[in-house]
Amino acid sequence: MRCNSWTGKPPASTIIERLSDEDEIVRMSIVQAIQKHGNGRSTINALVDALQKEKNNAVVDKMVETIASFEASAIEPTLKALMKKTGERPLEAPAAALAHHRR
Amino acid sequence: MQVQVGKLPGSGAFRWSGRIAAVAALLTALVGCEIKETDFTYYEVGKQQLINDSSSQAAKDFQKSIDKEPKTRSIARAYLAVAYDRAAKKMRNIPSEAQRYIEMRDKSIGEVRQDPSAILGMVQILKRQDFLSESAEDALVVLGEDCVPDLIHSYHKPLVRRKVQRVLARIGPKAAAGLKEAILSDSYNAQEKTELLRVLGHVTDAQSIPFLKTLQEDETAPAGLRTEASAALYKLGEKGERGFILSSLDSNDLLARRAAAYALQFLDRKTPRVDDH
Repeated sequence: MRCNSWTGKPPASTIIERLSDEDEIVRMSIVQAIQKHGNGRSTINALVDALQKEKNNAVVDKMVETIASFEASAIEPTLKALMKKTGERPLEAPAAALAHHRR
Repeated sequence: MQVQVGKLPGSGAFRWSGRIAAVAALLTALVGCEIKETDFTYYEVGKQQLINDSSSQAAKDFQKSIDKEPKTRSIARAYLAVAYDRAAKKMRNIPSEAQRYIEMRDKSIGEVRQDPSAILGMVQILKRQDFLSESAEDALVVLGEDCVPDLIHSYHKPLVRRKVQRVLARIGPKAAAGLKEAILSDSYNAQEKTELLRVLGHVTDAQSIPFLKTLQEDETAPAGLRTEASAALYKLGEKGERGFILSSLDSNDLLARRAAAYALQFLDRKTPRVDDH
């Protein structure tokens, strides 16, 4: 059983909105917060959406790592699509995440 | 000294140029030797040994430097502690040897503690981008609160900030007083202060609650600082800060948004129970 989950009424929508903050340090912190707390379907979906728009490599890596840490079968096509984006950046992180997810 | 160049082949002109070249080479060699001799110091040799990762040999050179070279005595003291720390790390597979070097390191740190210039020198070693800065970090942690003022003073230099944060966090509650002083001073900009406040949030205990509350309630203080104070208070059990933190997510102030986003990592987090595992 997971021991780290949102309790009370966490502002999931507020958090999701912040994934598009103009500052990468804010976005990175939000992803870290999701990694530590959130495993709801809407949060994961928002993360997958944000991943495809994210430009900062470090934030992309953290997003992929976070997505891969959840049990969400829907992410596999997204990660595959990300891996097909050639020429933009090395694809080790999505590949590793995919391998991790398949385990 | 006469240089025999009579057997050189070729014309007379060639022989003369050969003589000149030979004399020039001889003079260069002699002058070069002399310069090397005058530049030699145990401190420099020790430093080179340390860079080459010959830490125990370096320690011997630094000890000689401390004994014989007053000009570099303080910085040699700092490097001596670093050399022993490095030697201990290299001997980690032989616990008795590692322990012996740790004891020598701690003894040399005792001498650093008595020498303000050596403390400053130790902080300066943090600027290095090699394995020596790792040993300097560990030595500074052992040095503890005595190095806090110099550590915080070096915070102006972006290259060492992460290292300084790590050392301060490892020093723990004993770093709190120095951090508070820096946060209240005019010597640091808003971003530096919010970062130092975050470190304070890591190291502090309930004794800092009044300080943090005063800062959080000060409407003239920068928004980032107030939000960071809220985050630290929340960590210390002041759950009433939740609303302020969440509202700061919408702030126009970048530092306030960063502080609020950081605080989300522990906001509303349930304390793990034994039966959760």
